[in-house]
Amino acid sequence: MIEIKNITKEFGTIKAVSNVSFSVNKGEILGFLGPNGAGKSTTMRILAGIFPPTRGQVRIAGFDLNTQVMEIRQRIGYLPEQVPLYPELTVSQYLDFVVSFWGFDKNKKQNQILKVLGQCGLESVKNALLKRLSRGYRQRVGLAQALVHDPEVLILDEPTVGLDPKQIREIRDLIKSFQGEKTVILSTHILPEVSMTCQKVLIIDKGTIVAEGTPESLTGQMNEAAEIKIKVDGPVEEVRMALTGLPGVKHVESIGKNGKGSTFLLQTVNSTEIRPQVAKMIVERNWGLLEMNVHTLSLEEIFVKLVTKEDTA
Amino acid sequence: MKVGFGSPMAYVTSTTFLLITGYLFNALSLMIAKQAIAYGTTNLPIVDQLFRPLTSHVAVILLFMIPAITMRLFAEERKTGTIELLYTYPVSDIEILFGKFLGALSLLFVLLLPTLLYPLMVKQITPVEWPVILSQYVGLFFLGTCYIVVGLWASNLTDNQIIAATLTLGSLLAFWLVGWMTQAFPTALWAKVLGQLSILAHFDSFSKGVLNTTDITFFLLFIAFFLAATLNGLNSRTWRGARE
Repeated sequence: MIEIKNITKEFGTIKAVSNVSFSVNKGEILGFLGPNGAGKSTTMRILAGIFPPTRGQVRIAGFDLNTQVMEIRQRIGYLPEQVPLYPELTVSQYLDFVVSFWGFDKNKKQNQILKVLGQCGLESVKNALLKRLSRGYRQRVGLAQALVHDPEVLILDEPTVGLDPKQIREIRDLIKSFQGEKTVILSTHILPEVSMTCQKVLIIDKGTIVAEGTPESLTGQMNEAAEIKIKVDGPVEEVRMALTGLPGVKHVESIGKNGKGSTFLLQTVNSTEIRPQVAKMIVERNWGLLEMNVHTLSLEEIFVKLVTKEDTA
Repeated sequence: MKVGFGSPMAYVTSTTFLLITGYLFNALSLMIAKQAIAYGTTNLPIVDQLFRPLTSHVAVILLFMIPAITMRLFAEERKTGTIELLYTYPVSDIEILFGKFLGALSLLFVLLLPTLLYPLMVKQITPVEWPVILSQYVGLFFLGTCYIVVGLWASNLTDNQIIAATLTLGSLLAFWLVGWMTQAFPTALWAKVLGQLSILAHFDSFSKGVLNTTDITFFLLFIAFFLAATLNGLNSRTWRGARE
């Protein structure tokens, strides 16, 4: 459904997106992660048909972005990060305005507007002026305008930002319900959201993709180097050196000292089970073993690791 | 569909009303003053004495009013970001431009239309030379359209409405005043050439009742030029948007 090949986007001397390639199948929901300034929004704007890439090919629904942008825009609904609205219009008027670009007949227009008002929970404010709406409602109007022409593809830039927990859940459920019929790319900073709604994840940093896969595979990959968190009552340096000396230990990091013991983070090689050995050694050396547990990295920690370390092994 | 997105921008409701009333008031008071003078002498149709100056005054009033209308057409959309959403809809840049252009044109139409009352009123008292009046309206319409296209062009260059309005006014005045050179140097060739750029000069014949093809061509070329320039501005946005 969506194929991106080697796209680069330059703004003057700034390379916002550099040689990015990926694809999304029909009916899939892709999560797009990255720190601010990574090139997420630029990539999404390219996909939405706002401007073409400086280099590279984009194909959506079989159409080429560089030559058939109108066909692509016909089939895409876009929700930008900040939702720009026309303040003097009401919700219904605005949706009417948007949907009229698609040339539907009067009945279909009306039906679509009603449908989308319902989907986004906007019935109660349908006659309210846009300038009077709260953040949460504005966000929902933005989503509504992306949905109103029933697009095949949705490109959502941070769709749940600024919403209260109840609203977030409703929007997430709505997005999930599109799985299988619409193709969705959504970007977010809320990492658990990605595990909850997306089949596929892409992490982008400084304009290039640094990781790609399913939420499980990503957490799995990094968990190869599973970590053990251990709290020991003993002299910090000695303990640290002793731990490092153990076979199967790749790296030991001292992360703090509180109360009686110091806490260390051990990285193992290939997740070998070394807990018994660690325990044995500590006891033999007469140090107090206060706490030991396996620390599996959450997606958030993986994300942070990926975008801060320049040189992952 | 094209005009569809000219109007929802509800400048139509707020600014228009203010401007129309201001405009009408001006026109009316001018007219009354003139009438008083005219009546002082005879009852004869020295109507051209009234409508020609009136038309010139209207031309000047429009010069100031139109930038106020056009300034937000693009600038505001650029500032709020709504223009970006427009770029995701299946509508071409040309259609966007024409939508706003036609919206502004219809506003111009709405502004000028009620003024027809004046000749109609005067007609009750003395005969009115309709062809001349008509030609004056045609001239005003062309003139207004020229103002509009410059306004659109300027509005598209910035996201600040004040800058847009100032740029529009400045440019229009430049085109207006460029004709003064011919008066200062009536024989110099360069002055004559420059004079051809003067909007005012080309408008002059219309106000006399003469529909001159040179003048019409000038207006059409002028309008086409600025529309093209604006379209070019719209198209060349591949560099914009480096916000992050």
